[in-house]
Amino acid sequence: MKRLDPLIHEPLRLQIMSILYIDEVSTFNNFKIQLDTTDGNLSQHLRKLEDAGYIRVEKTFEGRKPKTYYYLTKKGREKYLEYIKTIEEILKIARGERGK
Amino acid sequence: MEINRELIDEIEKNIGLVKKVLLNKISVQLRDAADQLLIWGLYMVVTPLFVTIFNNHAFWAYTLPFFFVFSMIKRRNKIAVIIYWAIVELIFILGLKLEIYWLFYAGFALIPLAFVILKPRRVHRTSRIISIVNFWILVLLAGVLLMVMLLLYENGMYIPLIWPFIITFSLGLLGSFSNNSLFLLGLIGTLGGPALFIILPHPWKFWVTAFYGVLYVIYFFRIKHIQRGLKNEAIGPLNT
Repeated sequence: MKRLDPLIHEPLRLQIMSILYIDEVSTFNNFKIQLDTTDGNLSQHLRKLEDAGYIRVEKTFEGRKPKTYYYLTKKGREKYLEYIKTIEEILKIARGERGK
Repeated sequence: MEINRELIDEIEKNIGLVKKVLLNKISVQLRDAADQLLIWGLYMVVTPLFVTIFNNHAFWAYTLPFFFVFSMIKRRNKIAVIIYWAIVELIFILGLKLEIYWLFYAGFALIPLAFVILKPRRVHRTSRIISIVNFWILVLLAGVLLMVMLLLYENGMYIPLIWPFIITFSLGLLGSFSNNSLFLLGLIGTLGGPALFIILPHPWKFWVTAFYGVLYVIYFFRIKHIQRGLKNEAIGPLNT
């Protein structure tokens, strides 16, 4: 059984990854609304995911307004699915042990 | 890796968080779908009034852009939507005044075109879950095209018969057949509409749409209720 990816296991980062897995793309504001967190906290976690290559950032202008879009990378998608698979395995083992 | 109680608790907490993200997403999609039901329900209730007052089936078309603008206003650039609406209304009025009816029907063509021109925001466009609303609008567009055909062949009185198909499709797309109350409403709509069409005397046949309008508004309230339930489950700060 693989180890749980500590980068995804952190609750806020897991939610960021989940949102991106569902939506494929999100904005900073979108995350803020859905996760009800502070700008600083959110930025910090987004940066960690970006540094690990799990998400990709794209900065652009819509009219005169700057917009930042976040995408899940191929690596990020694989790691997210791997994480889900690992927790499923852990729970299966734990339930099996409880049943004994 | 050691599996202990602490790790299991952490995992269960995380599963709860992923579930909340999903519920939140479904709740937003349902809210959008409910809004569409309300707008098009009102269209179907209000338009027969105009058709009766002016004794002209063309009002099925005249009122359409007005409701269309409402259906798009939350999702797209508001100014572009209003400009689009003004142009279509102008074409419709000009077509009527000059009695150039092909111009009037050409206005319809602008509705699907508007989807291409007034592109949704990128966040919506690239959404991984295919939006219920997008499906709904496609079904609605099929209904609009059928309406155009019926108006062109001066069979406007058959317009109400389009709606049972739309209602069945849209409810199927909403996945609401698994919900007993919505299934019952869908059944009433599918069977009740054509039955009313047969029973009602000729000048009243198009009032069948008002029946669908009322049903749509009931759907709106029912879906809002379901959505509120989901929202309550997903509500609260999701981060811990």
